[in-house]
Amino acid sequence: MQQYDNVELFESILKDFDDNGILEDFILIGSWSLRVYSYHFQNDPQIPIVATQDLDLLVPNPPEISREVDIPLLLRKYDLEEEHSFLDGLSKFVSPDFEVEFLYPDNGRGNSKGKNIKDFSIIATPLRYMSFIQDNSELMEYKQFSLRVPLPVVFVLMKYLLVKKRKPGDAEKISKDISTAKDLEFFLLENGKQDDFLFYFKKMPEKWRKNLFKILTENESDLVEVFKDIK
Amino acid sequence: MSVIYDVIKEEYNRLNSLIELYDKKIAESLKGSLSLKKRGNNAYYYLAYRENKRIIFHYIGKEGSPQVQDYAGKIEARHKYEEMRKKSKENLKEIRKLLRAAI
Repeated sequence: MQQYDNVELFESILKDFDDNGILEDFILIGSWSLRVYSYHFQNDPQIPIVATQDLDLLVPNPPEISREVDIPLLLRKYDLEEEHSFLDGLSKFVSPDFEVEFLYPDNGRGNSKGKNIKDFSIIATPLRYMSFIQDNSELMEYKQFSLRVPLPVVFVLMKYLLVKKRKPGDAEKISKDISTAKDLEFFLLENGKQDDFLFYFKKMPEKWRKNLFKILTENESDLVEVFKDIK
Repeated sequence: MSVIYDVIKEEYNRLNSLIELYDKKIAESLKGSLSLKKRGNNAYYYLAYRENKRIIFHYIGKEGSPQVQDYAGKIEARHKYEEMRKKSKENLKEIRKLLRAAI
């Protein structure tokens, strides 16, 4: 098998999806979105980019299928093998150095069963808050690709909010999430996105706003000042 | 080189560019700090900064005036850049250690 570093692997997977006409059927979420933002904002060093091992792709609800593609077959050339959990029926594609997981907006009823996307031969993992990302995403150019990513301000808000979903033992990951959110938040506020932050904060359900504001306060985010009158 | 080395090297380069960027922003920012002086029942703000070993006090305005708020905002922005630069330098120190270990 050809040896890839993580960035090459990420871009090669994007290319495969693009060549098969399905790249825009997904929303790129998680840390790899930062690389797209960095490219979008002319590689500004204030945007933290890390070539992580986890590539997360969100399947919108309802799924938008441009054409039938056997994704497990497509990923096999990178030694990414499907790993099933028989307890909850979920699956992801793993190799020693990389993981690809497909996610799906959870309907909020605690449905942990995977969503079978037959046309792609994948099972997507339901996850809370994803519908908000789906509704607030945009197409961005990344090199020769056009792909859907969360709006950067929404990425920041969700990064904070999802800290609640981390297990208490994940202290290092929580600290990394907060640091990433704060760095991107600082860059966006500096670039005049205060009103955007306010707009998307107001769009959230009250319970989310309350939780988010608590997390922001605990982490001394500059957004506390922005949201303090409407929490 | 290993995949890990490439990842660390990329972060090393980003942090160096970031520190350079913050250095530039700090150099362009308003220098000094606000100094409050009371005269009778009124309070006045001055911008205090060093020039050739002397401390200069430049009058800004009355307490609560828009000018004072404007200067306070600019100074706060510089403090934020200084804080971010400090954090980036700490991160760079850690990355250097990792880079040495990865070679």
